[in-house]
Amino acid sequence: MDVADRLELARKLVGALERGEQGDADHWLQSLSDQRSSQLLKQVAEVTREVHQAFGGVISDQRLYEISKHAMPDARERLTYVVEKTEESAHRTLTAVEDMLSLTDRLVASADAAGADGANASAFVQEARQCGERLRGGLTEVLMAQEYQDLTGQVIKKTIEIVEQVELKLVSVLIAARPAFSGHEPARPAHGEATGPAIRQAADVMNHQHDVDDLLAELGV
Amino acid sequence: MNPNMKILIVDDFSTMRRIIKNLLRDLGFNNTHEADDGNTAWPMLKSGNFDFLVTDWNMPGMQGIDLLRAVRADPGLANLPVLLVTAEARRDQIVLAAEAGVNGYIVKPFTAQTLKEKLDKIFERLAATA
Repeated sequence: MDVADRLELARKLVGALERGEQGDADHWLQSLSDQRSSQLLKQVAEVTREVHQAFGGVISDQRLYEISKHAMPDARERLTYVVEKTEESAHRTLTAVEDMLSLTDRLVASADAAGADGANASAFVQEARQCGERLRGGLTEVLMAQEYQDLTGQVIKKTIEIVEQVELKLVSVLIAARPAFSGHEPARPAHGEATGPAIRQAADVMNHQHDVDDLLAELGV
Repeated sequence: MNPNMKILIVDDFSTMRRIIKNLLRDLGFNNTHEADDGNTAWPMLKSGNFDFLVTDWNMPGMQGIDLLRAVRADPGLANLPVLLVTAEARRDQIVLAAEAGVNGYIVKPFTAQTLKEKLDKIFERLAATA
């Protein structure tokens, strides 16, 4: 029904009201209202069909199938490897460092003893030699534990590629379903929400401990 | 500062707990204990007579900020000094921690020197108000 038809109905309604013909007025009012409801129903049906088609397309899209079947489990597995490998390397390094710290304590104690009593000098030389050899071993262990950087670096680079492919596929699916989709923007954390280390500069992120100290001082801490 | 004071270190990463434990030992504190999140820490705090709490913020289970609030709300623990050591560095988070009654806030990555400074400051203040 176009605007002219509706105007015609409205004029008839106004005329009936002006003439005081209540029965006719009710009739024209009912016609107008019926027209409006059927229009609305038609629109709802149309939108429903579009939404159904769009979602049907999304669900049966081969690209989404590939993402959930292969890309995501692959990325998850790779990142789990990174977590495990970095943790293992950190512990390996910490163990070596803890051993070496106790060796330096021994060395210092031995030097103190030799200093207090000249007769201990040869014992100190022997102790220093042993500790030196073990320190060298410990430092080599720390050196070797850094291999995680190469291994995890390769895995992380591969994971970034997977995420890029997933993003491209998802965006193409979204654009097909919703042409107004306009690409990504950074998520905004909720107030106080824990989000882990800040990986990019932002106005509300404190980059240095002294910035944190200044803010805490302002707050009376 | 009492070198025998009992310290609880709460962090979900065992490597970070180990690093903090080593740094504290270097500063002369040997009586350290560990928990991997707020839920594990809470019963330890309730029954353990701890003198100091060092906690991360972002952990599975109970987060550090909620542990801090629980400590402040508990009559037996309300005065326990709490140091947050966390990668969370947004302004709103630091304000929340201050409002919740934190005694110190260190952002990761941090240095041994920073840890020492914050401990000194916290215990100087506590001594001044005691």
